Amino acid sequence: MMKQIFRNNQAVFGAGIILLLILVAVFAPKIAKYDPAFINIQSALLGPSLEHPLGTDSLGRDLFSRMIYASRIALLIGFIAMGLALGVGVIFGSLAGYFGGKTDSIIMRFADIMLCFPRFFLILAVIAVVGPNIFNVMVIIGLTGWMGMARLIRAEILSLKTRDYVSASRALGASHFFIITKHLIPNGIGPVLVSFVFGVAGAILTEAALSFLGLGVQPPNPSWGNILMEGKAVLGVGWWVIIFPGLAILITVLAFNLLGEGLRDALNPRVER
Amino acid sequence: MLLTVKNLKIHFRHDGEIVEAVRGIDFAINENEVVGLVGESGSGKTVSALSITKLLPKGDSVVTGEVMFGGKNLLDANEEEIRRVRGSKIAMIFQEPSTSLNPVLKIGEQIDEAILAHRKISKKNARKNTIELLGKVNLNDPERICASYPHLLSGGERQRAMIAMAISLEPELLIADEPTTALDVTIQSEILKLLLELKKELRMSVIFITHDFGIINKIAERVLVMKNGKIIEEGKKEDILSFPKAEYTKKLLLAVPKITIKPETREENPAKMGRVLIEAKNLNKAFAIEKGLLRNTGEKIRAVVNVNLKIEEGKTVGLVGESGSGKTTLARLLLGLIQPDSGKVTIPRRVAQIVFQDPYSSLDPRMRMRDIVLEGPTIRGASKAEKVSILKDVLSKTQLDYEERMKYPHQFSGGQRQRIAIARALAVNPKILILDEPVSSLDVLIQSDILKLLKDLQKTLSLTYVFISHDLRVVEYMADEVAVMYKGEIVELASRDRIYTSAQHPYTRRLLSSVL
Amino acid sequence: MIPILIGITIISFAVIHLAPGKPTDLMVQLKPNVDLEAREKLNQIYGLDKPIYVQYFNWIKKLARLDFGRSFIDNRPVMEKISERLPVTILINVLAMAIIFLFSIPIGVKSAVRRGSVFDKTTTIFVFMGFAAPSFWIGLLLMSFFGVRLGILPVSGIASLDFENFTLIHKVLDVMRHLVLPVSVISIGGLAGISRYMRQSMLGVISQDYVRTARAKGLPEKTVIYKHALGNALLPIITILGLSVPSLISGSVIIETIFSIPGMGRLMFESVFTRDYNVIMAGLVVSAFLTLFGNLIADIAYAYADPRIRYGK
Repeated sequence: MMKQIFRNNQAVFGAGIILLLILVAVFAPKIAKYDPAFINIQSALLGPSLEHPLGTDSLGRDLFSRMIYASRIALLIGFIAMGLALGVGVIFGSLAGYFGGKTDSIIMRFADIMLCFPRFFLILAVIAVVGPNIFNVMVIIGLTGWMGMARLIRAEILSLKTRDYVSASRALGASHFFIITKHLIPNGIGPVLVSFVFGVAGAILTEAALSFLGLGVQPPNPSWGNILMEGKAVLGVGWWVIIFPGLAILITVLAFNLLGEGLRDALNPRVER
Repeated sequence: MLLTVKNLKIHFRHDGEIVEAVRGIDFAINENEVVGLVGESGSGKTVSALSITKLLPKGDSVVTGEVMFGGKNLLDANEEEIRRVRGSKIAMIFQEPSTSLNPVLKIGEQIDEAILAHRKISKKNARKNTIELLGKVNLNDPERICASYPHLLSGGERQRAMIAMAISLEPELLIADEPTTALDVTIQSEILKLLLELKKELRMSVIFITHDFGIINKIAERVLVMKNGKIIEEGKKEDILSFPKAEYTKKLLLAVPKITIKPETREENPAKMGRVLIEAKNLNKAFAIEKGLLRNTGEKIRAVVNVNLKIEEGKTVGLVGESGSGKTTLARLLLGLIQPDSGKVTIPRRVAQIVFQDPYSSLDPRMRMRDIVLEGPTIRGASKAEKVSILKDVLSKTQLDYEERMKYPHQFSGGQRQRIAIARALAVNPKILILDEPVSSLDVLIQSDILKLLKDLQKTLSLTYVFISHDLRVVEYMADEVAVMYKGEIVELASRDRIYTSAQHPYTRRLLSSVL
Repeated sequence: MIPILIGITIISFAVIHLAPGKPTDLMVQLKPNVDLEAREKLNQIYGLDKPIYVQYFNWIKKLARLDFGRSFIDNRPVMEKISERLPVTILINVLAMAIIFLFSIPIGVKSAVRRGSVFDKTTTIFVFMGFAAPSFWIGLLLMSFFGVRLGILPVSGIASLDFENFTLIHKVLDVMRHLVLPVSVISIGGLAGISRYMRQSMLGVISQDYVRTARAKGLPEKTVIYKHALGNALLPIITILGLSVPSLISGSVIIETIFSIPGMGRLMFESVFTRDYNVIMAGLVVSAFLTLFGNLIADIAYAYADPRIRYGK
């Protein structure tokens, strides 16, 4: 499978950008020239220059430095939120798929109910109660994002558990735990990982949207979304405050989507002839 | 000469590499003859047939050579010219009747449009024609079939509908690509008979593609044998069947176990006689059928009905029946993988293991060969040293290479994979092996290797076999006793010789006559 | 169905009430000058001094009569506020859906049939961009270009200030003008997703045996593609139509906030800021019911379109 992924240019391209982003996030203090929170009204809304490669915002903060630091938050929320969703989804989904019957109907009914809510409404409602901050946003995005993965792994397991190798394993005396962890999850995890990668992209978009609405990462902490929110106020004056954070989101999400698409192709090679 | 193919070559682009699937073949088809095109999977027989009317996917394949038909090279024909030939002059039937018909269109509509694509007649007349055709292929109640969607018909009915569609314009040439492979044996022989009748009536030629010399014997006048994209032998059917020249053809022919009781397979098993190892009493098992989206009708399929079976130690019981007869359910009941609704299975604990039909799905694709074979010992908590010795032992018994233990299933051939499945079962020292169609998904040459291996293992390890198969020839080779299953019941249970020489039940006789 | 409806109300209720403290605590925080006594009174008015399950049953009893209580902010019935706002959101999304399907089906079919062509590659790039670009960003860009820079399209609201004095035709045109930008933003994202999905679906169908059969019987290529292939490829799209309801509603929060459109999404957003819990709970319940309704319609449509389900064996 690795070979197929590497043969897939778009996946390699996506993975490359993601790697670059991770490096940027890790070494943010080394890359950023300015303190992202340093306010200097005198240099407010300066266009891109050598001094400030992406210009400054309405409080005179260096946009480049703020965007570098914002990448940390985007990636952190993307990975941790979806990691949480992955864990919950895989556990629920494999229990439901393997045991079937009552277990299955209770878990999947719960997932169905959760899926009825427009996700953004649900997230907004919880934030209204617990208040907006990075940690809450992370947990809420995770806990509202597991249902798709649970469905995927359940569907995989439903088909895998009738495979002959599972029957053979049972004939050899294997326990449920052994069958689930050794045969079913390793073979069924592929589509879930694809969905995880797309999910990270989605979580980053959601965080950006929340922050843009003022309900996510709170200023002065920089996030691509809240930089854009501030940019909206200077619409028509400082184009750079709008263009660059948007591009950052676009490129990041694009990278994850490319990787996800590539992974999916590698998992389902087109049937020849 | 109806069709002349000269120096036909087909290349496929596959992940950037070019693969030569057909490597320059020449053949001709006369008027009004049936030519059998024989070969194993991957020999290039299907792609050659598809290329005649340019049905290969455009972007991925390159076809060169000459296909002369009606004074024209079809390979040079443009889109419209070839369209006029397809269906009206050269028609096709495919292997899978369940996927070859459009699921969202009624049968009648699908045949009507074939007629309307080539003839300027009214829709009403086309429908009349369609109903006549459906009668001609011996479908009861053509009106009903016409108004049915494909999924409501049985496999045999669908294939008859496909045939009706193919002959709707009285083609000069019919290409039939394994048209009976997906069907049960009794239906197989009916379809073959129908094709022969139609061929006579319509005076058409038929190219019949198959991997099965049994079918060739019944239908073909002339035979072409293909291997690795080349025609390696061709001649009259009688000549090829009796005096094959190419080594490969000989092997193919030998690999078909013949139903004649040979003395060397006649010897008695050395194991002690008499001790009953497995006993099933009044077994019943039914499954609920799920109908539609929203409701469960409560209807049930009785998969196993009142089955009684005793199996003596060291013997092989052959379990014969068509798909859906309940053989596999019975096997799972015997193993204890599912529980019976009523009745009882007596079997010593943990001594039965199973080998499945499809070595693709019976091995975990993400495990190494070593881990697959040692799964049983691992579950039972064997130590590292024990595992190594077990591994070496069972691999040598199954003639697998210890050096290849770190490879994954997809790196092995079908036959090797089946050996791995057998090794996995042997690793826990079983007394009984339930063999569920263990060779039916393998190519014929490999089949005989595996059957021989199973016979040897039985002798050296004094194993008891339950051998499940739909193939009477294979069962004849393997079994001491034969149980014939039909709709969940064992309708006949007798020694092999009795079954093959003086079968009592009409169903058994029907099964036998469809093979002989 | 019934358990799902009940589940929806439980979750909507639990989301608001599981947090420690009472909803009024937060409400009071916003107006620190409210004293303890007034707070007690508030709790009584909203029944918050009772055990939580009693509160739930009281709430659901009223809900059965479509009474979601009153808004904490202006004391108007919640149902009234919602029924004012919902039609706007539905209008915008129905318009967007119509545009999305009108364009994405032919685009998807064309890129599948001509896989690897210039057209296919161009649309693929467009699709990836449309997928990755945040809608609020596209909204901002369109706003600053068409609204601020060119000044040819209105950037907020759904009607002009002197709307009341317009003739009927003028009114319709005015609303349309206001909806151009928000509908475009929704369409861009949806177009990318659905056309991609259509392409995949079509690609899957094109390699099916029955398409080969259709060719083998000499049908013209157009019939093969548009009758045999498209007929099957459209089936999964029906499901997508049902599934897109929740994401459209989610999206409406952002679109309506950017363009100051008085719809359901904006109502939800405002209520989150003012912690108007009755409105939030109602918003959750109503939107979940809408989703359920969308799925139901899609299921029925699918069953009608697919004979394998219509005439289950």
